Amino acid sequence: MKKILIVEDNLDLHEMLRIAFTLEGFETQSGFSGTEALECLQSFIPDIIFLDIMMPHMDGYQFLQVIASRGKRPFRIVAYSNLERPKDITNARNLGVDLFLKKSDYAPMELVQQIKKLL
Amino acid sequence: MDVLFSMTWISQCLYLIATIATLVLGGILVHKNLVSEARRSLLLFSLCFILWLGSLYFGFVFLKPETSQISLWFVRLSYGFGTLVLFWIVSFFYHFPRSNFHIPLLWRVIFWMGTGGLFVITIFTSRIYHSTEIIIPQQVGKDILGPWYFLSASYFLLSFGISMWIARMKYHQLRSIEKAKIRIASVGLAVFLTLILLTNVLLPMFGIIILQLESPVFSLAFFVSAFYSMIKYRFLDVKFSLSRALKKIIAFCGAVLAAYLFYLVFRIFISSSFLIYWNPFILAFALIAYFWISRFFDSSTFHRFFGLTNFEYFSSQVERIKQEDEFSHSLPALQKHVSNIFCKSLGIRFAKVIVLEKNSSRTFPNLVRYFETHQDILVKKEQVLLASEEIKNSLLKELKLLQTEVCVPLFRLQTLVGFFILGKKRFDDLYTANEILALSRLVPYLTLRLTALLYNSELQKEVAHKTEELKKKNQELVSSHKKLKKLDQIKDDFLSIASHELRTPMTVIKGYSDFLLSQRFGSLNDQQQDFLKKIFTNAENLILLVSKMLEVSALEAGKIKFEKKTVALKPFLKDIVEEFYLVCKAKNISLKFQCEKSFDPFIITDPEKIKQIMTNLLGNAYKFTPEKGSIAVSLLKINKYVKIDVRDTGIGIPLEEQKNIFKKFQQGKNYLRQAFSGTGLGLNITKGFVEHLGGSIWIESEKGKGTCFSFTLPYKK
Repeated sequence: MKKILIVEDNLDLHEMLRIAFTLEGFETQSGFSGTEALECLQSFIPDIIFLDIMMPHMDGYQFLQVIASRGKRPFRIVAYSNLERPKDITNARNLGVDLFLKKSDYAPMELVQQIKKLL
Repeated sequence: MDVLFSMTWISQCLYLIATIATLVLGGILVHKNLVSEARRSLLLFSLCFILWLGSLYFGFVFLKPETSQISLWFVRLSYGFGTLVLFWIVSFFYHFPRSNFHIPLLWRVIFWMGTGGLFVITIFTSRIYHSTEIIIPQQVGKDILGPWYFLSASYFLLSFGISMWIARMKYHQLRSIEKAKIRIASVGLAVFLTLILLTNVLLPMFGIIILQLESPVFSLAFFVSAFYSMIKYRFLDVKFSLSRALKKIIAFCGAVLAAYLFYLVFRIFISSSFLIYWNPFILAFALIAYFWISRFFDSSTFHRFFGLTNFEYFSSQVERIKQEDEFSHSLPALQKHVSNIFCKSLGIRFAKVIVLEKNSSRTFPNLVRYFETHQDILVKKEQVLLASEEIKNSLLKELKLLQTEVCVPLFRLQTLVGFFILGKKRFDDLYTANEILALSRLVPYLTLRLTALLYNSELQKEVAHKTEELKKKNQELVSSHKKLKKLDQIKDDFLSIASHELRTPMTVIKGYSDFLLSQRFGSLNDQQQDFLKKIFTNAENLILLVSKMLEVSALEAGKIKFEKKTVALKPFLKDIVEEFYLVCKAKNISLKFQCEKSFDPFIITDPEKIKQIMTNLLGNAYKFTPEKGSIAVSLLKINKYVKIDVRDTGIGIPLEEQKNIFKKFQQGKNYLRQAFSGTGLGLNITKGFVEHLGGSIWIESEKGKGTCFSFTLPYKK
């Protein structure tokens, strides 16, 4: 069973993702901000982190920087955001994002398929 | 020979000098055919004076017992001429300077007759001395003198009195210069009178007899002063020649004196018999003395005395104006320099450069008007006085206001920029032709300097003003630029955040609708499915709209980056087309890609944008083509462009809507909008992309038959 850490601050969206991933047989963990996600990581090592960029307190970029500073990581990171400016994408890529998905492009089930492709 | 020495050598010298001086001055007086009564009086005076001196001299020459009668005649003649000399003095004072003073003709005739009578009688009388024998003057005492002597003396005093009276009467009527002239002549006369009285009356009372014989020479005092007063204020040419002649005169007189001295010295120390052989030496000595004395003077020594222009100085100063740059900095400096030069070298009271400004024409309108038609130097005494009455009056007033004698207009390119005015000369002399010429040569340089100055100062003002303005504008620009940049950044961030914020709830809507539609959370009836589909579709549309709007605004702001990559167009387009195969097949639409086999272009463009364009066009073709229709994509070369067509057999676009097809939010008539989803922004963006890539896009369509979208891209081999 693949483990996935969902990091997203919007409750509805978060719930939607959790349902989608659980339906497809993932074990999910939730973090509603960057800090929470880091806390989760202390006890839960996922195979993929599903990361939103725009979050309060610690946003996606900051989270990525922290992860990057820790050196090699055992999980993939998928950035999930409505941001589409090229500089946002390159920024994320530079910080170690493996896949950048635009929220509005995908219905949740399609999202899951994308993730499955990655693994 | 002995006779010569009954006159002392001083007397002889004095006589000689007096005669020569008179001849010279008299000669100058006849110079040019200027006729005036004053001049004539003076000329006749000099003539009578020479005759007087001459007769007196010969009176002494023949003062030997055997020629005593001849001597007597000469003495009488001398008295006669002496009387005439006095007459001419009176005449001179009457005529000079010109004024309104008038003595009735009757009195004048009486005086003439009286003088004439006296003259005639004096020559023929024996009543000058009691005895017919002429006594050596050193022994003359009161008893010797006869009645006619006293008559002559009375006439002498009378003529003096009349002259002084005339002078006084005239004095108050005249201008300052004329007054000065009278003063000079009167002084001369007074000196003459004083000396005569001194040597003939006063000193003999104390038994001192000196220079009694030389009394006539004293009238030279008057002659010189009268002459001087005549020429001082006028007759520049006379002054010029006199100034130069004076040097020679002085040298000559000096030489004569020296020669005589030389002669006397030898006479004292060497015996008379060898004297004849010394004559050449005396002559030589005289010549040496002449040249030596004349070396002390140069032509301009007496210039200032006569108030003549120092022309060399003037020219050199004019050259200075031409050359030096120190006066280009300020108008006051130039004015001062010019004023100095002219005042010093021309001996005038003032010189000024007047700059014509806007309001100057109010101060001297006539002058300005005059110079509109005349371009030469205006010399008051010449042009103005010879001009017509009205011009004369109008100009004279203004010239007087400016205290101007000479007004030099300064022109630059046919426009009057100013005047250069010169005041009266020191003795109210006329300006000579040379001086006017020198002035006219100076004018262009002065004008140049002046205009340069004016231009400079104007320019400086302009520059300063404009610089100030520029600074202000710059500051405004900088601050508004800052504001704009800030705004831009704000807008950017806003758009970014707004897009995110807008799309998040949309994504949620879409997501949950999708969940429900998947029926994994419960089955749905047909109607429920239908409704949910609508919700899903509209959510998608909204998301798409937001994206498109962002794209349009980004495109308009020039924010979208267009890359430049070399693209192999044929395979690239083929791939895009292939992606649509399945979709088209599902709708039973045939999709073809046509291109000439040999044509395989490589173009420099942005592949991402091409993909978007093609997606949009193909998407539209697909949308608007019914089942069993066809879509054809073709790639052609036309001159320097490649042309791509997307042709469909769809519903077509009516003619009236074709012109609006690329505008924002246009998707054809309302009824179509409901049937076919879309935001209506696609073609607008497509057009923007195409044009930015250097091409153009157009449409050919017919309602019901089909549509062909064509666009071009630049292609260089």
